[in-house]
Amino acid sequence: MSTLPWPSILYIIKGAITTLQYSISSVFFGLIIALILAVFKVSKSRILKIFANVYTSVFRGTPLLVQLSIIYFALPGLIGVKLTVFAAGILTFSLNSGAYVSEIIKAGINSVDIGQFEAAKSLGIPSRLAMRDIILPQAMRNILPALINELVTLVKESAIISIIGGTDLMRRANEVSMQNYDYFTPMLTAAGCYYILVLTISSSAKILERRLSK
Amino acid sequence: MIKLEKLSKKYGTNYAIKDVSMQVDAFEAVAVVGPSGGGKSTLLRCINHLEEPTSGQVSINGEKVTKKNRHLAALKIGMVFQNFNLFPNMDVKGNLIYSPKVVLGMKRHEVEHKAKELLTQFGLENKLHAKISSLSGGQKQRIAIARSLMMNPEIMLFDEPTSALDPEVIKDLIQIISLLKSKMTIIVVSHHLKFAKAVADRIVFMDKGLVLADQKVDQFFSKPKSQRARLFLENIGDLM
Repeated sequence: MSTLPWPSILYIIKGAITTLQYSISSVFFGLIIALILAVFKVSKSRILKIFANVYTSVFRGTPLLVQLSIIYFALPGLIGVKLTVFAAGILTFSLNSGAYVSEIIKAGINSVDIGQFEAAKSLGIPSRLAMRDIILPQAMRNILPALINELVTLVKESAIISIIGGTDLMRRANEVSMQNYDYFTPMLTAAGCYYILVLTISSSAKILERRLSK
Repeated sequence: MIKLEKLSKKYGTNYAIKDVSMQVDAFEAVAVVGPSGGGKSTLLRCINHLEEPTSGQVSINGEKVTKKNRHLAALKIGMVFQNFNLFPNMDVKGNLIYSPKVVLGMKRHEVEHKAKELLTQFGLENKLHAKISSLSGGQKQRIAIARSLMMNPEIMLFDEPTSALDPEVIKDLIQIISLLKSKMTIIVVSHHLKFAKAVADRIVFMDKGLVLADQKVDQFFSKPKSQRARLFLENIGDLM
């Protein structure tokens, strides 16, 4: 093991920002996709239900790396649009995360007491508004821990972006490793960064949860 | 005035209610009583179409309620649920003003004024910004009643209103319902006979989905028309 120059270590640590950019943006867009899918899943329309279920099944049934490769490498040939690494990454992670989170939200909606739907109906509240203002806020509160878990998963899984050239923690650790013929320190640095990110997210989630349950 | 004609609800091959016909006039209060599982609550839920009746007809003021116009019918009917079903993601004020605002399009200052008025009337003027989880059972029920009243209903339905209350609070509820009686039509479902006697003008006795007796209060308690109702009264005796 050699001693790694400090700027190299700093270079790796800065990758944490990129990693966070990928994961936070993807959780955000994924959540929007998931909300739409979840509402489709509990809707009365058969077509919307089938669409949402097939979507979820496909995105959960294929590897993330394959999805990323299709969007980054295969899509340009298909529709002639070349996405940047960042765009391809966010798009893939959001689409993928949307599938998983939609199941979480669906479970959340189902966990809301049926009496809430009935009360809304008896007051003449249209079902779209009841969903938006009464059911979903309660569902989201119930599933907050699961959503934080999803963010943690994304922080870790986003390392895949390094394969197509995203300069995240993993990519930077790799570069430094190859330049210095030393894998130990760079990878340990990356692992440490990931761990601190995950720990920070999950402990702030715990504080938030405690506040909300008051 | 609300009229039910041969209202039936079937689950699989079982009738929860069968051929129920009755009429409740404006400013009349009717209590539907009878043993559990007799179809009381299903009847109530069919009246405001929380359950779709299998057959039969509900009319309000002579106008038939259909699948198309049941949204409008819902506006004329308020319902107070057994477990109140207040919206826990809103405070008391939110619960009261949300539907008149979004459904009736009332202005903010109008609904707020009305909400404060109702809360004062129910002795809850200091609870405007209270969280739902901080309220007692009786307070929750009064908020639930106020929430329905915010929509200016012509008919109020109460589903087992005493079942989640401390005995002491039941007296307050009787007072509130008596107050409402002068302003609207009331249908109460209850297995609590003393309560029914205190609030209703008329008693409808149901068992196994059928209406077995429909009489004025004093007549029902002195001379119930059905054998089953007589037995029910005897069995319960002074218990409730």
